[in-house]
Amino acid sequence: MIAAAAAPHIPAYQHLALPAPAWLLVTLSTITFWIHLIFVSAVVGISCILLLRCLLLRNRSEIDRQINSRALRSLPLCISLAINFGVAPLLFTQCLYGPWFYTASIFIAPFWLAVLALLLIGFISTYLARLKQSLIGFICTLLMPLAFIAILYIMTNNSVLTIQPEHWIEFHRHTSALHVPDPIVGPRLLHNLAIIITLGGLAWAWLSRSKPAPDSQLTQTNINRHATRIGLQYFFLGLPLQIAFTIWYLQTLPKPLQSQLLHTSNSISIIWYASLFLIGLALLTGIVAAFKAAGRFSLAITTILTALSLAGNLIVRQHIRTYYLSRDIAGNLDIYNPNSTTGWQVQNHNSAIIAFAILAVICLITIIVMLKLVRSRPAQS
Amino acid sequence: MDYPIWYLPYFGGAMVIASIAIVHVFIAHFAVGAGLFNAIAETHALRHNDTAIQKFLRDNSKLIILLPLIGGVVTGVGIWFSISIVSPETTSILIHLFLWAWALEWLLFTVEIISGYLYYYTWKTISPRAHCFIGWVYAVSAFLSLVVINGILTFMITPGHIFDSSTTPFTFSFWPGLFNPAYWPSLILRTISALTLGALFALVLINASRKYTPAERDRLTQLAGKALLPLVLAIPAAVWYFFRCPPLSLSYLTGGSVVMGLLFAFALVGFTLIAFYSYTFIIVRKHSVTLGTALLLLILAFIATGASEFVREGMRKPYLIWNHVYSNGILKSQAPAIRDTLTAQQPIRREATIAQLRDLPYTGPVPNDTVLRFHPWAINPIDVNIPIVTDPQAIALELGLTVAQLPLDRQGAHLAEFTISEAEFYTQDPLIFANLLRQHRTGQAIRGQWIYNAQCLRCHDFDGYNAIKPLVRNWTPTMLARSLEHLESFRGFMPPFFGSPNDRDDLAYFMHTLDGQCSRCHETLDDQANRVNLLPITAKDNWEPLP
Repeated sequence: MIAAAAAPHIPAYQHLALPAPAWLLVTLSTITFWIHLIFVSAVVGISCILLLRCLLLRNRSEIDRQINSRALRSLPLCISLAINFGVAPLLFTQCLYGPWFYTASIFIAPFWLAVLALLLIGFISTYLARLKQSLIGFICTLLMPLAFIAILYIMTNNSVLTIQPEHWIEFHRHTSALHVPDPIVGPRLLHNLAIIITLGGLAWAWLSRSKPAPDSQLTQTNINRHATRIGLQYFFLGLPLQIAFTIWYLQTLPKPLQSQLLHTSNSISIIWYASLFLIGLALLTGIVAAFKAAGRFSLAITTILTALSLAGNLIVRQHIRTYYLSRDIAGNLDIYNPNSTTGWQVQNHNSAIIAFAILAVICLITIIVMLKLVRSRPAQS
Repeated sequence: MDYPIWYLPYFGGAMVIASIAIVHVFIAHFAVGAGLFNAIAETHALRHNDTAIQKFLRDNSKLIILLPLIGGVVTGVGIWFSISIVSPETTSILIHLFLWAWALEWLLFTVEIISGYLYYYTWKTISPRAHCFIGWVYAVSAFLSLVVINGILTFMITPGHIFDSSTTPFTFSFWPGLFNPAYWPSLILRTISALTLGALFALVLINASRKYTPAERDRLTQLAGKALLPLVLAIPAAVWYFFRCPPLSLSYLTGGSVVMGLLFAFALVGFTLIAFYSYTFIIVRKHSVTLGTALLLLILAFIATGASEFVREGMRKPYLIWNHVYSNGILKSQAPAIRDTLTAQQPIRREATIAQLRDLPYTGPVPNDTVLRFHPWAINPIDVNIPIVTDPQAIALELGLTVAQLPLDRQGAHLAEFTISEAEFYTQDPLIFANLLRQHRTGQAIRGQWIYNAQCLRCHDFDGYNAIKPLVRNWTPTMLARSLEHLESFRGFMPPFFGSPNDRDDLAYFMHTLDGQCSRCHETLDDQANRVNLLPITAKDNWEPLP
C-alpha cells in the first residue's frame, strides 16, 4: 500500500504487482513517448505552419501550393502514428503511476474526454482542409492547430496535476476547472510548444518534399530546396524560443531540483547539459543545411541531433516526475525500490515479455519489408 | 472506491463507456472483417485476373481501410480515457494483469496502421502481388489484434481459477488468463461478426456505385455472400460460449432480466435472418441484391452486434471481473474487512476524506485519524448550517414529538456519532437533545450520501438513465435498509452493500430523502398551523435504525 498515513488523499494502491521491473517499464515508456512526441511535433508543427502560410501568403506560387498540399497529405498518417505511439506510454504510465494519474484525470474529466472530440475535429480537418479556395478549407486549416494546441494544454495540465497532489483539494472544490494554479504550467506548455515548432519545422522540411507534377516546370531540386528553407525558418524560430522557455521552466522548478539539474555532479545534470549541447550542435548543422537546402545529409544530421536532444529532455522529464512523486505530500513514491514504503512488488511475466520482444522484431521486419516493397518495386500494369 | 467518483449527470459514466465502446466494436470488427475480405478478394482477383474485383477494391479502399483507421484509433483511445475515469480500480487491475497483452496488441495495431496506409496509397505504384502481400499483412495484423483483445474481454467474465484476488499481491498466470474458458467460442463469434460486417459493407458499396456492369455486380455480390457463410456457425459458437459462462450470468438471459433476454433474442434473430438471406438468396438462388436490401442487412447486423455487446456487458453483473471485482469497484476479497472495520477500509473513507479536506485549509499531509472523523459533527462547518432553535415547542413540532417526549427519546440518537461528552448528552435539557437530533439527521443524510457516492453513484445517477429516484420512490427508510441488507439476494445483478448497520441506515435515510415527497408523510410547521390533514407520523417511526 502507498503510505496513506502520510498522504491520505492519494488513493491506496491495490494489491497489484508490477508485471515487469520498473526500469523496463520506464525505459519502454520513455522510448515510445519519444516517438510519440516526434509525430506529435510533426502534426502540430505542420498544421501551425500551414495556418501561418495560409494567413501570410496571399499569392501563392505553384511551388508553394505543391509543398503545402504535400505537407497536408502527410498529416493523417502522422496523426494515426502519433495517437498509436501515445497509447504505449499511456499504458506504462497507468501501470507505474495509476493512483496519481487516474485521480488527476478524474478531476479534469470533462476536458480529458474533450480530447477525443478535439482529436476527431483535428483528424477530420486534415481531410477537409484540402478543399482549396473554400471557406470550409480555411476554417479547417484554422481548426487543425487550434484543436491540437488545445489537446496539448489539457495534457500539460494533466501531467502537472498528476505529480502535484497538493493541488487536488482545489480541484475537489472546483470540479469543472482545468487550469492547475501552479507557476510550472505556463512555462511547461510554452516549452513544449517551442519544441514542437522546432521539430515541426524539420518535419515540414522532410514531409513537404513532393515529386513535381508531370506537366510542371518545377524540378525536384527546386521543390526540395524550397521545402527545406521553409522548414528551417520555423526551426530557427523555434530554437531560441525553446532555449528561452527552458530557462523560464527551470526557474519555476523547486530549488532542490534546480540545483540537481544545474550542478554537473550527477548523471541527470549531465544528460541535461548534453541535451542543451545537442541542440546547440543542431543549430550549427541547421545553418549548414540552410545553405545546402537541396541536400539531405545536413538536414538529416540536424534532425537526428534535435531528436536526440528531445530524448535527453524526456529523461530529465522522467527525473522531474520522480522527484515530485518522491515528496511526502505525494506519498513518497519510489518506483525503483520495491522495498520502499510504497510496498510495490514485481512479478515478472517473463514469457509474455519474451513474446513481446519476439513480436516487436517480427513487426519491425514486416514494416521494413513492406517499405522496401513500396520503394523498390515499380508498378506492373 | 478509493478514487474520486466521476459521473456524467443524467447519462452516467457507464453509458459514456458503453457509447464509445460499442462504436469502437463496430469499427474494430469492421476493420478485421474488411481486411480479411479485401485480402481474400484481392488474392481471388489476382488468381483469376478479375479486373472488376480489383477495381472495386481500389475504388473503395479509402472507405474500407482508412475510415476504420481514423475511427478505430480515436475510439480506441476513447475507451482508455473513459474507463480510466469511470472505473479506475478495475482498469488498474486489468492493466497490471494484461500489460503485455495490450503491448502485443499495440505492436500489431502499429503494423495495421502502416500497412493500411500503404495499402491505400500504393494501388498504382507497386506490383499487384506486392500490393496483395500488404493487404494480407493488414488483414493478419488486424485479426491478431482481435485474437489478443478477445482474451482480455473474456477474462472479465470467465477469469478461471488462475486468478486469486485475495492474496497480496494478486496471484495470476498470464497465458491461462488470456486463453481463459470463454476465449475460443468468443473468438469464433467475433470473427463471424467481423466477417459479416465486412461483407455487408462491401455489399452496400457494390450496389451504391454505378461504375459496375450488372454481371460485375453479381460476381462481387457472390463473393461478398460467401463471406457471410460462416454465420451458420454463430449459433453453435454462441451455445458453446454460454455454456462456458457462469450460471448466474446465464440466468439473466433466461428470464432474470427482461431487457437482456430481449436483446439477446434480437441479436440471435438478427444474425439468423442475415445468414438465412445470404444463403438462400445470394448463394443458392444467386439473386442480385439491391442497395436498399444491402443497407437493411448492414443496419440489422450493426444492431445485432450492438445488442450482443450489450448482453455481454450485462452478463457480467454484479461484477466487472467475475467473482473478483464488483461493478462499483470494490474487491470481493475486501468485503469482510470492509464490513468488520471502520477504519482504513471503511467504505466512505475516501468520500469523507475528500469532503473534509475540501473545506479545511490544506497545509500539508493530513493524518488518518483526522480525516477519518466522519461523524456528523465533523462536517458541521462544511455542509450543515442548522440554526439553533430555542423554542422547545417549535422543535417538538418539527420532530413530530411532544415537548414531554423530547428528553425521553434521546436514546434514538447515536451517542457515538457525537463529539460532545456523555454528561452533556445526558443533560435533561430538551433543547440540546432536540438540536442534536436535528443535526444527527442531517449528518446521517450526509454520511448516507458519502456512502451512496462510494458504492452506488457509478451506476445510478439521481436522475436520468438508470436513476435511483424512481427506484426508491415511496420506499420508507426501513424498507430501504432491509433491502440493502440483502441486496445481492433481492436483486441478483446488484453487488451486496458494504458497511456496518449504521452505514446501511444512513444510506437508507439518504435514499429516502431522494424521494422528494416528504410532505406526504411528515407534517410541517405550516401544515400544523393550517391543520392540513396529513398523517401525523413521527420522525422516529421512519428513520429509527434497525436493531
